[in-house]
Formats: sequence, C-alpha cells, structure tokens
Amino acid sequence: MLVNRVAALGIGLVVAWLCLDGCAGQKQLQNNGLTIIFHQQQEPDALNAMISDMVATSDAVRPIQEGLVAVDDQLRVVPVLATVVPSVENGLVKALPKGQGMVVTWPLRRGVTWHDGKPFTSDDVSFTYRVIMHKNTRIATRDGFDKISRVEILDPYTIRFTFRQIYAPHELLWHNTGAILPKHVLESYIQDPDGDSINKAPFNRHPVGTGPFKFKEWVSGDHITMVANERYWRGRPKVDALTMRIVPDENAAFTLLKSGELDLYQSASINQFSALKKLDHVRLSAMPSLTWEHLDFNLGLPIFQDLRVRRAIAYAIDKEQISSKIYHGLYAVAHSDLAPLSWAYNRSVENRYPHNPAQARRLLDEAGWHPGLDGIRVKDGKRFSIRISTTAGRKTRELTELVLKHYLKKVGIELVIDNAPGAILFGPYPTGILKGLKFEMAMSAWSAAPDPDNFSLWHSSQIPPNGQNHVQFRDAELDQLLTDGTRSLRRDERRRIYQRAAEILADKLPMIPLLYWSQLDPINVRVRHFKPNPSSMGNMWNCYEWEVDTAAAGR
Amino acid sequence: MGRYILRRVLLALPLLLGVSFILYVLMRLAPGGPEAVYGQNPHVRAEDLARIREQMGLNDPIIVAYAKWLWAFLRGNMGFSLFTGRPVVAMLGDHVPNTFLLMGASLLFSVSMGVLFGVISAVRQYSWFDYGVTTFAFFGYSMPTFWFGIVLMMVLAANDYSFALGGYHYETGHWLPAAGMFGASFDGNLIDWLRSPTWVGTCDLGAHLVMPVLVLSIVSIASWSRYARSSMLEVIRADYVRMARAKGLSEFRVIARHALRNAMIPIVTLVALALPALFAGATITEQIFAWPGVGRLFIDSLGKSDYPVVMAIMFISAILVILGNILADILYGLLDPRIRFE
Amino acid sequence: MTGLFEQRVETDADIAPPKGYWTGVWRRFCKHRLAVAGLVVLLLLSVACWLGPVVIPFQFDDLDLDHTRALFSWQHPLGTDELGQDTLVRLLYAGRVSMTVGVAAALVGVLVGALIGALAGYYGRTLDGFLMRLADMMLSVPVLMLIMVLSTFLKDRAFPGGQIGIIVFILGLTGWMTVSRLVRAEFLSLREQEFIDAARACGLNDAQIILRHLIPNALAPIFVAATLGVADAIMMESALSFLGFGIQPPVPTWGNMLTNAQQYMIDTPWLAIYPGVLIFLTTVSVNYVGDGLRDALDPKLKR
Repeated sequence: MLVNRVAALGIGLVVAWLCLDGCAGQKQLQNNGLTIIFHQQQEPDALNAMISDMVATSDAVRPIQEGLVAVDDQLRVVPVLATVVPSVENGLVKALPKGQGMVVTWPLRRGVTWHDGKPFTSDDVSFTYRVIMHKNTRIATRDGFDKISRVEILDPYTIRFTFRQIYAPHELLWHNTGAILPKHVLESYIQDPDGDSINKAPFNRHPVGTGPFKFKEWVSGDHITMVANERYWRGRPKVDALTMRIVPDENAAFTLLKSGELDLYQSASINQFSALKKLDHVRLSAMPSLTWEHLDFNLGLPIFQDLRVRRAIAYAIDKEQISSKIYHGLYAVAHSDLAPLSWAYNRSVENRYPHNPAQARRLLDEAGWHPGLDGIRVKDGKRFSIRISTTAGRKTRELTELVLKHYLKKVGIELVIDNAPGAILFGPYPTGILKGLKFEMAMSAWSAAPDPDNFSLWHSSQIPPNGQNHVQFRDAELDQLLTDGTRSLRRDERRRIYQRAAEILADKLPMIPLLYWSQLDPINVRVRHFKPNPSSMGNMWNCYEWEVDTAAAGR
Repeated sequence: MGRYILRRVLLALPLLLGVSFILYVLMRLAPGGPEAVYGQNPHVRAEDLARIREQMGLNDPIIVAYAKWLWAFLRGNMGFSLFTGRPVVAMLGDHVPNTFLLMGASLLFSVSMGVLFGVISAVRQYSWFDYGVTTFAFFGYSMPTFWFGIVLMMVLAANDYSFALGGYHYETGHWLPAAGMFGASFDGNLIDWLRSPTWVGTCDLGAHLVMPVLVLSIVSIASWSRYARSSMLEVIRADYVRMARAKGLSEFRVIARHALRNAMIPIVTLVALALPALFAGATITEQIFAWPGVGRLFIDSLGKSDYPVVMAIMFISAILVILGNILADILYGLLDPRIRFE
Repeated sequence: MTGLFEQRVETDADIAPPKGYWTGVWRRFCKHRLAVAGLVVLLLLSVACWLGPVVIPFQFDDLDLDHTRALFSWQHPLGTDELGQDTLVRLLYAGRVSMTVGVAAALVGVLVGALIGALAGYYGRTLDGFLMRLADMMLSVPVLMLIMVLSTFLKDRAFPGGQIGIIVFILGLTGWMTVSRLVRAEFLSLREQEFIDAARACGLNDAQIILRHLIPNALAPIFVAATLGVADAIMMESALSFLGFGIQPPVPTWGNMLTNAQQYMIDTPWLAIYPGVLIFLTTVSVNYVGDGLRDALDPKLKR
C-alpha cells in the first residue's frame, strides 16, 4: 500500500519534471535562432555611459550608442561617427601660436540617423559637450573636456573644438563617456542650469542611439535585450538580437554556458580555466588586457624609502611562478605601467629584476637588515614585518598574497595579510585604505587607457588627497616628463618621453608591476567574428560584424 | 480589539524612528562610501570626486541628510538612487514581485511539507519515520545554503549523465535551467507574464523556480516540521483528544478534525512572523540563482553604498517585521479563545 | 556573625536544585542515544582539532607549489589545495577557529541575552519595556543585513582578538534576542513563586536572588539556546565568508574553506566536500546534544 503511494508520487514527479523539461528544450530551440546571449556579472546602473562608470554599462551601451571614434582590437583609434580621426598630419589638428592651445576640427559622417529616424548632426555633438559640462551631470570625470574653451558648429557635419592647452589624447575623449547623445530627446533635461534631471531622465533606461542595435527591453536584475537596427549606416547587423543576461555567480554562469543558455561568458573566472577547456562547444580566447596588477610600497614609511629594500623585494618575487601557478600562465609577467601593445612601450625595462633570492638577501644585508632569532630580519631593534592589503574576497589576489608571503619569508621578511572589501580599500580620502595612506604594501590593478599618459598615478602633485599617487612617489624629472607628455602632439616625441618615464619607474621602483591581466572570454563556437578588445571599449565593439553559424553544433 | 491594534501600532512608531536613525548613522559612518566606486579609475581626479560628493549630497551633516532621507521616504518615492537616478520606489517595484513569487512559493511548499512531516512524525512518535524526519531536519539546519545551491545546480543543470526514458533519449543532463527567472522564450517581466500568461512562459517560469525553491525550502521544511511535531505532540496528549478517541471516532478523524486544528494555532502565528521575508527575500539564494529579487538589489546597493536603496530595504523590512509581530499576536488571539487582548 | 550568614546561605542552597540533580540530568541525557553520539563526535572533533596541528609536520600556511591540488598521498592524507597547502592540517586548524568562533559567539550571545532577559524579567515595568523594545528593534532588522553593515563599520578598527574578535562580537550582538526573551519569560513566572518571596524575606539582595535562585531555575532554556547558538554561529560565519564579510585568509575557517572551494567545485569538488561534511557533522552533533539537554534538564520541556 505504502509502496504504491510512493510509486504514484514518484511517477507524478517524473511526469511534472518531463513537462518542465519539455519547455526547457523548446527554449533551447529558440536559443539557436539569431539571438546572441552574452553575460555580465553586474547590472548596469543606467544605459548612459556618461552617468555610469561601470564595465557593465559600457557593454550594454556599446551596441546602442556610438562615439566619434572607437578603439579597435589592436588599440588603433578608428573613426565611427566621424569620417576621419583628426591629427596634425591630416591638418585637422592645429597648435595655436605661443602655446595658447590647439584647435581640432571634426568632419562628421553624413546620412546617419538616430533610432527614432531623426538625422545625426553636429548639433548632437555640441549638445553632448554641453551635457558633460552641465553642473549637475553625474559624470565620473571631466578630465580633458574641461580643457576645451570653445565649441563652434561650422556646418551640420563639421564641428570645431578649441583647447586651452595642447592636449594630446584629445580624440579619446569621444569614444567612451563621450558617446554622442541625441539632442532632440534630451534637450529639455539640461534647460535648468541648477537641475539634475539629466541623471534621472527616462532616456537612461530607454536609450536612443545611432548604433547597430536598438534598445528593446530591460528587465531589472535579469536581462537587457536589443534588436537589430534595420537602418544602421554600416548595414543591418547579421544577428537579430543581442541579450545581456545578468548572472552574478560564476558557477551559474559556467553552467549556463555549458548548457548552451549563454553564448558568451565574459571575464570568466581564471579558476574555471581547466573546466572550460573541457567544453567542446566553447572556444576559449585569452586576450592580454591593458590592466596591470602591481605591488605598491607606501613610500611615506621610512622602511621603504631605502631603494635597496624595494629592489630586494623585487628580486625575492618569482613573477613567472605566480603567473603559472595561480593564473595558469594566462597572465603575462609585467615590467612596466604600459602594456606591450602600447605604442609607447619600452622593451628595455623588461627583466630588470629577475627572481634572485640571493641578490635580495645581499641587498637587505647592505641596507642594514640582519636576520634575527626567528629568521625575520631586524634593524635597530625593529622587525621587518609588513602588512599587505588587497581586495578581500578576490580569490586569485588572496592566493597571490600567500605566495608573496612565502617568497618574502625566504629572504627574512614577514608579510602580514590585512585585506579589506573593495569599497574600503579604494574608498576616498581619508577613510579609504589606499587614498587615506593607511597601507604598508598593497596589491591592486590599474586599468591603462590606450593613451600612455599616467600623470595622475606618478606626478608628485597627485599625492592624496589630490590624486591617485598613493605610493607617494616624488621625482623631479618624472614630474617634468609627465607634464610635457600631454603637451606635445608629435608621436615620436611623446614616445621618447614615456619611454624615459618607464626607465625612471623601473629604476626607482615605487611599485613592482606584477602581471598583465588576461580576459578569459569563453564563447560558443556558433558565434563568429568575435574579436576581444583589450581596451575599455570592451568586447561589444564590433558586434555589428557578429554572425551566428547555424550549422555549428552550439549545443 | 481595535484599540489594542491602534496601541500596538502607535507604540511601534517611535521604535521604528529609532531603528531608522541608528541604521542611517551606522551606514554613513562605515568607511568606504559611494565615491569608492570611482576609486579604480585613474582619470577621476580630486576635483571630480569633490564635485560628485556635492552632487550626491554627501557634504550635508548626517542629521540633515537623515532628515532629508526620512522626508523623501515618507513622501512616497523614497528618494532617488545615487547611481541609477531612479526613484527607489520604482526600483523596489521591479524587484518586489519577483521576490514575492520566490519566497511565496517556497513558504507554501515548505510549510505544507513541514506540517505533513511534522504531523506524521508526531503521530508515529519514536518510529523510524520520526527519527528520519528529525535527522532530515538537522540535516537541513546544517546545510550552508550556498553550498547546497551550487551542488544542486551542478547536478540538475549541468551534469554529464545521459539516459533513455519512454523512448526519449536524454543526451546531457540539462534538466533544469541553471539560473535566472525567464529563459530566452519570454520577453518582459513577471508583471507582463501575469497580464498575458502563456503556457510556454508558465512552464519556463516553473522550471526556473524549482531549484531556488528547493534550496530555500530544505532549511525551512526542517524547522516547520520541528514546530509542527512539538505542537502536535502537545495536543495529542490533551484530554479532549483522548475524549474524542474514547467516543470511538476513527484515528484519522481524531487527528484531522480535533488535534490538527488546535496544533495549527502556533504554526499560523509563526507563518505570520515569516511574512516579512516575502519582501526581504533571500540574499544568498538570489545571488546564486541570479534571481532578480530584493535580496540581490540589497547586496548590490550595499556594495556600492547606494544609501537610499539600502535604507529603504532595511527600513521596510523592519516595518514588516513589526507588523508581522502584531499580526501574529492578533491571529493568536483570534484562534485561541483563551487569550484576551489587554 | 559570619557564621550566621553562612548558615543562611546553606538554607538557600536547599531551595536550589538538590545535589542529585546533575546525576539525574546525566542519566536522562544518556538515554538519548543520538545526543550521546553527538557528544562523542564533538569531543573527538575537538581533540583532533587541538592535537592534530601539533602532531602533523606542516603548518596550515606552508606552501608547496610543486604539489598543488593533489588528491591524496601518504604525506598529505586528504590531499593539497591550489597552493599545495595540506588540506588535513588546514581543516583541523580551521576547526579550532570555527569552533572557537561558534562557542565564543554563543557564549557572548547567551551572557548578554541572559543578563538583559534577567533584568527585564526581574525588574519589569519601565526597564522591561525599554529592554524588550530594544530586542524588538534588533529583531526587526534582518540579521544578515545588520551584520554586513556592522562589519563594514568595525573593519579597520582596533579590536581585541582581531578579526575573530570582531566576528564573535557581531554574532554575539545580533544573537542575544531569543535568549533574552526565553529568560525573561522564565523569570516572569518564577519571580511570583513562593520560594522567591522566602528568599527575599531572608534578606537576600536582588543580585543574590537573581544569581542563586532565578538563574539556576532558568538554566534549561539557556543551555539549549547556547548549544543551538553554537551551530548557528558556525553557519553564520560560513554565510558571511560567502558574502566576503567573514574571517579572511590566511586564517582558515570551515566557512571560508568552503567558500574558497566553491570556485573549484567543477575541478576539485573534494576541496568543498571536506569542510562541508565537517560543518554538517558539527552542527548536527551540536543540535542533537541540545535536543538531549533539553530533554534531560527539564522533563517538563519534553514535548
């Protein structure tokens, strides 16, 4: 009797489950259509890159809105809504006499329309500048834009900006936060000079752009869908729709990719590398990125003011082993604050501090740090025990810390781990651990722009609370170089400047570059023409080219 | 009765005011803050941060900021999120129905299963079933949610088993969708589905619900079965149950008609106490299964220090907990005639 | 003079539980087979956790980068993790931390809760109203949320016991409400009984009455709440680790080992299974012991 009941219950459950499963199968069928589903770990704040400084935002906005230029996968600046990128060579950038600044003329693309049918003109570009400079626009930075002194509309397809001073990376202002906004939709939101309605505009959740995809819907916390723009100026994209699915947990993202519910799992966890390799319907691409992980010294502490101590620590660390053991060899060893892809990269600084514990011990002896009873070095009665801080909960960083602790112990330095959640580590002056100068050593990453200018990181005027030079590096020659760097329009001159800056950084070692991040972007083999982009453009930069290979076994 | 309720509600008001003030001050004093979001962008300069602070109203003294927040909350839009620029009430409007569905389904499932298990194990006290339920209950108590969730996901959503059933060959074990709320087959949100429910959409939603509901239920089935068991045991020995048995009623009738009714009184009040969770959701489960509910909104907002959103969620849960308490007391009084309101 | 006082104290002791009481409790506890089994498991686990790391020739933070993610060997009976750290010694060391956190947090919670409940129940009126409103206030905020806000707030502040101290403090601070309600209810009914009147008539002061007469009679719910509190605290610590608010590496806890292992669930699931099983084993045992204690301490409570 009981057996019968249990059996009946079991059969009922199986039937229910088959029903559900049938639906799931149906859904997969639809999935094989011309919709590409990509993943993001976080939900964007708004679909307006101007007021939301998140990777997720830039990914979601990229297919919808366009800038005057884009940065391609080789880090070249290419025209998008402009017909050509202005430069000194093509005569569209002119330096004004007596160092009074420069004038940049942008010829714009004709025949481009907004998704609602209105034409795109130079009015929109000038309007975008006005939004950026509006008092209450919650833009992350106006760096560069605030050097513009005059905007002139020469004709509907030509616009001219006058800069107060020479500003070399001027074209990059117009690729990310400077994506062009439609004047006819948003004009009323910046009428009030004291209002902040631009931050609250419905547009931010329902954008209109010129891009290859039109916004369709945003279901909070779940997905954002965009459909092909039939009238796109490059021609209709080859897929019908793009969907961004927001999946915070990496195990869930992996599972969705495995089951075919997801086509692209962006910035996959490095810990899943070997499991991802086993999926035969997934192509793995590991793209070196511009983000570089580094170990900072607090130069405000007497202990680190001795250059020999900093160099000893550099010699003690085996970057190759960190790369191979923790990052599966995917993260390349870094030697500079610029990426090898950059046109200003200096090869001569590579391998200046190879792994050499003996050399490290010699330097520490020289500096007066001698091994104490417990093996930890002592000088003037002070033990060489140093705290290291990084983002709590970032697994690979926590592992790296343990390995660093292991290396430094071998040369007689004790490393004490003292991590904090990102919000506190990167928090503002004076409570933040980095900006408040409350760290001793720290490990974090900077994401470099395609332009080599790192003024805010190393210039002595940028020591907190003024800027991001929390290592508190001061060097008169470097200060001068960084100031000159953005004041020159000549590529070869700039290259010389930044290569010399890299020399100084490698020599004086205010921080140790550890590794370049790699973006691990597993993608279903059915998606073609996917080209990962290491810059802040993100992977969506060429989504107008993407195609679905219906014949490929996409599971 | 009416006066009792009024008194309880009036007493709760200063309490809530106190709660909200303490929460607000704690939150503002915590290191970090909304500007930390910009801390990793090398192009954000000190002057930009100063401007952002001013724009976000972070330069106001805490008391003033609290008063502004409270006023915005009371006026109904609950203020604007510092990052999305949307009224907090609209953001809650997007997330609350999803949480309500998830938590409602798991409450329904776990209470009914828990009561069933609890009653059977009380009736058959010290039987194998009873021991089994007790062990299962402790098992449920001791299972870290996130661990169980991930294990379940791996087994049900991405395993490598294949088998044949009813002439149908299952190639891989993609038995259930791993995460999210709707699959690709459905556009729109929960409200859209409610307006025009399609068969495919319903199945899809059901399939997405299975795993998170299971994860949430395993813990609560455990506690419900314990409550039901002890409450049933107390009743089963009462004189009126013996009386009913003595009258010659069948055992089923005795249990179902006489004992169960009275044993349910504490359970009903406990359900009233569990109601606030219908709003607050389950942080960890929603995180793992990418369920777009209030729990996830909370943890995202806390990570960014989006003060108005964090405050609204905490404060509304506090209000609901207090209301749930009042409701539980009222229900208890209504169901149990021996209790009178003071 | 002193003799007279001692005499009085002796008389009071007669009102408190008789001497054979604890033997009876122990006898009744032993009848609950699962509870005894739970106690044995807990004792074995504690012995292993406190002796193990002393005996095993590795430290919990010794790296062996050439033997990472080993399955098992004579050298490393439970294998190694992604940095070649010995899993067994880490598990045992983590056990120390987790059990310490569990017991300490439960103790803090019970002490605070008993104190507040005692004061509220004994003095009643205004104090009772105030303290119970405080408890309502704490109960009305979702615990996990409160803990997250508190730990962001306390992070980076000097605290006795470092991060373990912070976790214990937070878990204790957010875990006293149930105990205080139980104790208060017990006190409310006890304080009206004759033996308290008698004690008062003997000239005992409030503190003596509370400590000698009321607390011993309210021990049953306190004990049970304390045991269950241990299990709760261990679970809570693991949930906090998952959300990034728990105890940070290199100090292992079962909670953070489990959390870390979930990133490797696909490749090396056993790293997640060991701490999972230990958490399960401990909390189940603690729960059985609590169950047994409840039955043993107060037959009235057995339902």
